[in-house]
Amino acid sequence: MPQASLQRRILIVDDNRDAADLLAQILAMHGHVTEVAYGGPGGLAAVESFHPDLVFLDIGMPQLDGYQVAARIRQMHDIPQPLLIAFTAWNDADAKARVIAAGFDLHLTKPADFGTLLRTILNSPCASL
Amino acid sequence: MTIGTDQKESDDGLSDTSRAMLAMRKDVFDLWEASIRDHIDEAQNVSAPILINTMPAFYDNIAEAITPSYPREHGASNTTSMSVHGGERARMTSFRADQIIHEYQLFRDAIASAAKRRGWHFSAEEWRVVEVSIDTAVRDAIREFAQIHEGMRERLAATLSHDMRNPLSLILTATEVIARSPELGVARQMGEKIAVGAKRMQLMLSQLVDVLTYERSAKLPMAISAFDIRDLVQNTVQQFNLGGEEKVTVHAASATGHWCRNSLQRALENLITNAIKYGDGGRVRVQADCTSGRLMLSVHNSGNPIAASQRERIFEYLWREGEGQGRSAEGWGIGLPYVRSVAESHGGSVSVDSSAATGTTFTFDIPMDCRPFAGVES
Repeated sequence: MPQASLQRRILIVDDNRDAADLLAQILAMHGHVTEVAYGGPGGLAAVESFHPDLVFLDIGMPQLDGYQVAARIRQMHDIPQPLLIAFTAWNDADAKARVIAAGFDLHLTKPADFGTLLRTILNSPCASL
Repeated sequence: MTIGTDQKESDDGLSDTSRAMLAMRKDVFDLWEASIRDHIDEAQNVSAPILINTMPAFYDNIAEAITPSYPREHGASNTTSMSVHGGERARMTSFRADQIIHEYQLFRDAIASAAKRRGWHFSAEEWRVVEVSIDTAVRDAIREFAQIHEGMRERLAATLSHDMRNPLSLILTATEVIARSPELGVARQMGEKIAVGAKRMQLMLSQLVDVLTYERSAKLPMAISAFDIRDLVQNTVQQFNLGGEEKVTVHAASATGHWCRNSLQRALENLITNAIKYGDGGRVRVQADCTSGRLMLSVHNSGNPIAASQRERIFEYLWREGEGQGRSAEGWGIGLPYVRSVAESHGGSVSVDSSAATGTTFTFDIPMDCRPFAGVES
């Protein structure tokens, strides 16, 4: 199997810098190409320039929250649409329903089991292919 | 004319007792309000319109139902006004369930006393309508009251677990990095991150214990000592500036006063936690000024203001902002009732100033010497 099929371009958007940096670091150690943004506006810019296969998007952020960012990404027509994963500590039924309604593909609760997280990544399609 | 929930235009077709009941409405409500204020501590600070609430309409419904031919079985039938009453008690007051039951009992007694004063009596059938009306109304009110409290508890549980999962996630991710990395330098760096996450969780736990264990009306246990407010502010702020980021800045002059160090520190931690959480990511400013015998301790953040209608409510027990500002179930911290309790136990107050232009500032205003308020001889 070619290496490229195991490697994904992953964007992490989280206003908690440590949370974003650490997730990027561990995913890079597993061979993925990563990019981080510390807020909604930066996340939108990174989607346009970095063309991620998937995006881990935090929900509770100042300025633009995760729901708003997801909705705007879904309106971008000039980029390959990435898999959108809400990566959030909210896991009540309301939050999950809102996540899907906002255009996300998946909801993953923090803290996530790392094995599940890696499998989710490897099972995702490459947006750029 | 009646003010029942059907907004009837005239009292034609009502029996003499129904009309007599409508005529003594004011007496009943004067008696009732006085006896609630007398018997229910939680009613002391509730304004008359909120206390009276939808009860006059309920009263007129009972008056209508007393007329056998009137198409209303009892005072609480055909209307949701009594469940509305229970809901408003839950949202607008600190009444407990037993106190709602009590206010309806006092309502029944007020009707009986007002009639007696006027020298007339309900027949057994008529009084039966009054009792069935009130019994039904109590059930409606308590059902709604309990549902709202249940909702508050669910939101609180969701918020608390959310707040704890964030640092937990940080800790677990850092352990994954350590497990994967052969470099000692990386492990050390991750150790620092883990410490930051663990300290955040520790702080949350102590705040949670404060919030869940203190009695709303009771005074906090105070251990008064003399110390410099600048030391306390700097020590407290230090925990928030871990990891090299200067999230919080301090402007504090050195000044020694008599306060309870532990509760003052917890209150300040609460305010700073909120300012970081609900601000726009800009720096939080903590300021301490001592003038004319008083300490003004303030915590400021920029970002979304708190709506005028919510400025008082955020200090209430278990109150959280609901939907809005795209923030899911997130709201102003559960710690604010505790903060207010700390200010009041020091003989002072806490207030909030919030606008889009100036941001949000919570100010703690307490005397420099709190010994008289804590029952300590100066």
